[in-house]
Amino acid sequence: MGSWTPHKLKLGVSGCPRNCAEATCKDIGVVCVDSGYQISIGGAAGMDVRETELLVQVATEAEVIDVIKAVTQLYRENARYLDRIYKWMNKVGLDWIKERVVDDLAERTALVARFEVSQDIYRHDPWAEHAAKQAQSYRPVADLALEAAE
Amino acid sequence: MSDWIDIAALSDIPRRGARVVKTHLGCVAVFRTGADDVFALNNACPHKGGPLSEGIVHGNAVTCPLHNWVISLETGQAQGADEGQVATYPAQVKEGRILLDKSVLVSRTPA
Repeated sequence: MGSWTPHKLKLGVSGCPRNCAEATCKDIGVVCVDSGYQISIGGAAGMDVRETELLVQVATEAEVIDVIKAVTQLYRENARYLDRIYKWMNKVGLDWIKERVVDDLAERTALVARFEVSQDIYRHDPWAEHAAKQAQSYRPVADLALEAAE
Repeated sequence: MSDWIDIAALSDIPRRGARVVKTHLGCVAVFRTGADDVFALNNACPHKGGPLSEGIVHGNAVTCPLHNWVISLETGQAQGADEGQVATYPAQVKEGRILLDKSVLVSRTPA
């Protein structure tokens, strides 16, 4: 949320292989299956209709989040302005993306870290700060209900 | 006989704001006006029970956040064309502390 990308970035997550969220025609799609999570990228359903191509299947939710962050950051850093992921993928190739996001764990970690940098400004919550300091001022100033009625 | 008890410092309530005191009778809203006068009223609008403590204080009146009824802080009367009455309680400020009358707030049986 808040990070700039070369073009719009649509994500879909389906909780089961029936794929009701139509995750396989989004820029990044996740389909949950018995053995884990299938992450596929490069779909579209507008001017061009394209099915996503499988990037990787992972076992845990944490890995899903990391892979998506890494793909997004790789896309942010390398794609030309106005290239959706499928256009960018046609230029660099899915294998090139896999090498960096799937095979090279150090690269994945670095990409995730750089994505987090782009996010930390937007995740600033002024109300959390305010609440940490001033929550008391929104509570009842006194509780006379605790006093025994005479 | 009145029995004044210390509720809070005047500075605990923001100007043109209010804080709530829990009592057996329900919540009582303690208002501080722009002129640092303090008033205590039931925290329920006579119209639909809106939380008056969350309303906007202007002069010696508060506007209910739900339907803009204007309630006089001095009398508890709804102003303008609206008719209704909010229970008011004695309140005073002494040496920067807000005092409420405990005998009214604690022992009174609910009507």
